[in-house]
Amino acid sequence: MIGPGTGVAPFRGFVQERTAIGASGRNWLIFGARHQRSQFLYQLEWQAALKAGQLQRLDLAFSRDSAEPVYVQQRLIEQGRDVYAWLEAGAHLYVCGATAMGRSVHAALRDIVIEHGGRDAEAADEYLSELQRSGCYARDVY
Amino acid sequence: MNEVLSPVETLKRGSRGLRGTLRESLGDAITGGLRESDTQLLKFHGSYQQDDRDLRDERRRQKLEPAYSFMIRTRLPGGVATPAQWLALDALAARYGNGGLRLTTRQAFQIHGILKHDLKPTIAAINQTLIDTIAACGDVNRNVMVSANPVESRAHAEVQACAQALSEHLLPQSRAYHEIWLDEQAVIGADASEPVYGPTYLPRKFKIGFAITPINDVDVFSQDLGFIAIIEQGELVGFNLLVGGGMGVTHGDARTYPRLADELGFIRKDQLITVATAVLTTQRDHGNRSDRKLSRLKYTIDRLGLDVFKRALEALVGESLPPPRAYRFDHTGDRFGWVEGFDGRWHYTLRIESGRVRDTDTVRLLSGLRAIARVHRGDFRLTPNQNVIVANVDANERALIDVLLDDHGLAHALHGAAIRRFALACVALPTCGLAMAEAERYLPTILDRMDALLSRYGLHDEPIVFRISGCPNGCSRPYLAEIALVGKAPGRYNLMLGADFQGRRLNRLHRENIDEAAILTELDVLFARFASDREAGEHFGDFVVRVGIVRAPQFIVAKLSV
Repeated sequence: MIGPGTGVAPFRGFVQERTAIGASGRNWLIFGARHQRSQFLYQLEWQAALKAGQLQRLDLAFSRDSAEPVYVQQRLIEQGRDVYAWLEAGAHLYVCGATAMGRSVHAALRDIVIEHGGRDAEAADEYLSELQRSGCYARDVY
Repeated sequence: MNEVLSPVETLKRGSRGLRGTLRESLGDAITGGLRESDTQLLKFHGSYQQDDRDLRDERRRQKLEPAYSFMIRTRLPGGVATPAQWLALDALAARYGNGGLRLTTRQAFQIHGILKHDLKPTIAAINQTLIDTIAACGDVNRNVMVSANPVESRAHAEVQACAQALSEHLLPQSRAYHEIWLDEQAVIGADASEPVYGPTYLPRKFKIGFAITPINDVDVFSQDLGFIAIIEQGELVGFNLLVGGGMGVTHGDARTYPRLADELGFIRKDQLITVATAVLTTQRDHGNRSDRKLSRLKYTIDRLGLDVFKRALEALVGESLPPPRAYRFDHTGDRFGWVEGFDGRWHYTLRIESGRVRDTDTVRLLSGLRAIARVHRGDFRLTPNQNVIVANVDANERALIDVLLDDHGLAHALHGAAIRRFALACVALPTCGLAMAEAERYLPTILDRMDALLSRYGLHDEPIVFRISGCPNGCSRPYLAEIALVGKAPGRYNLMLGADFQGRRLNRLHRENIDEAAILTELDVLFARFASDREAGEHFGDFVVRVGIVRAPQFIVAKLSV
């Protein structure tokens, strides 16, 4: 689940739903905003979810809290090997949020498939298109 | 003592020289705070985790954690800072803090409002100005205090040097600080042990103060370990040794109480480090490590008995202590305005209410002191009364300082009601986690209201020591005030009366848990009586004791005053 800013909204429901139905799969959220202190939406809930094991991984990117801005796509790249492994294992990847962010995330995913999937650019595009066709890669960008 | 150790003891022992998991905590972006255990260890590094208590409810409703931030406190023996250091701290406060500086009742700088991800850059930057924050908080020796601007300046420099040497001798040796904040490479076995502190440091905080007569601004009788500089014919010959002072109290726990230090004897200059270390290590070995409310040296002494303590100390020192020498204290306050030093240089003491250096529309302390720091060629001295001295000004530069003071609305800071002159307030809300009531934010209001009452009885110019604390820990040393308010609940205080003007007598509880209306009603009655029944030149604190408004306090210390 990649949902910086208001894009995190549906993922709150996803995690609550999966908890409620006792889903066994793992959950990984990547969230970003400008400032950790004031814009970490639903922070208390994410802290609780992590602690309770309802969320297994949480990565954060607060772009204006450091000298060098850092965005969600960087977090993806940093953990590219695991991202690719999750995709290969059948994970569903959801992106929600600003259109521009959606484009940056898509480019990052492409790079990840190239580097960790050992594919060239064209094959990487096809890989991602296949994921979208099969419903394993869904986007709600606005 | 076979009781269960306090959990903090286990934490210290297992912390690998105060490292804990600070690095991990600092890097964890899910929270703006540290893991609980690391918040305890952080204190030894000179910082407290805080949160904005005004925002707690609102943030909880917003599903956000408390608005965490960090306070950093400097280690600054005697409160002496260069203009370059002042400017650097001012810039850091603007960049990383919530703007403005605080000057504490222990002569240190505090910067508040630092976010977790800025903590390391701020501490690193402070160290680059040759100030550190080591042991400014925690179960260690704290900032060593020295009388800020005594009359005998020649001896002052020597006492200041003694204080600095002692501060350094009692620093923790762990390289944790340098590794975590200053990127020093870890060297295996570099700090295998703490020669003075041992693996669990002290049972509690430890406070040292040097008083240079005739001014007891450091409140030497409130210190765990006090030294009264004995000066004969302008020469520092040694110190009277005082042990066992302490302010902290817990409401409703009669086992806790403020205590004045006992005078044990006289020591020579060359004995200072040995004696100080002996007192500290005796407290290290015998202090209560089960109940932190009873850990301070004052309780250790009362439990062991003063004679036993003294004998143990003399055994460690290797000789018995001759009796204390005679000295005199006039008051605990600062002398505002210009004072000439022994060498023809000048010192200007500027009153800073609650030690809060910031700009308002009319009084621009922050930019004024910044402007002064840019041209000043002497130094700054933070006073134990939360004020600052622009020190060592050449006679021909006085005019320039005066112009800058005037430009920033600071020239009249010393004027006004006498009740303001000695007033101290701790920070309390919104950042202090221990505050039960307001202190700093309430001081201007309560001073105005007290002045209105005093003026009614012609007492506008009457010097009275008034202090307010947001909780009974007493960081503004309220138990040594002629009138004190000690916070108990929002808007409610214990009213304490009857300390003396030289800081040699504790006050007593007069009214418990009262609100402002009751405080003012009571003070009105007392001021009226004082105006009509006082003896000539009698201080308010002495008056309330003499006429029996408060019982003679239990801990009067017999003095050998000249």
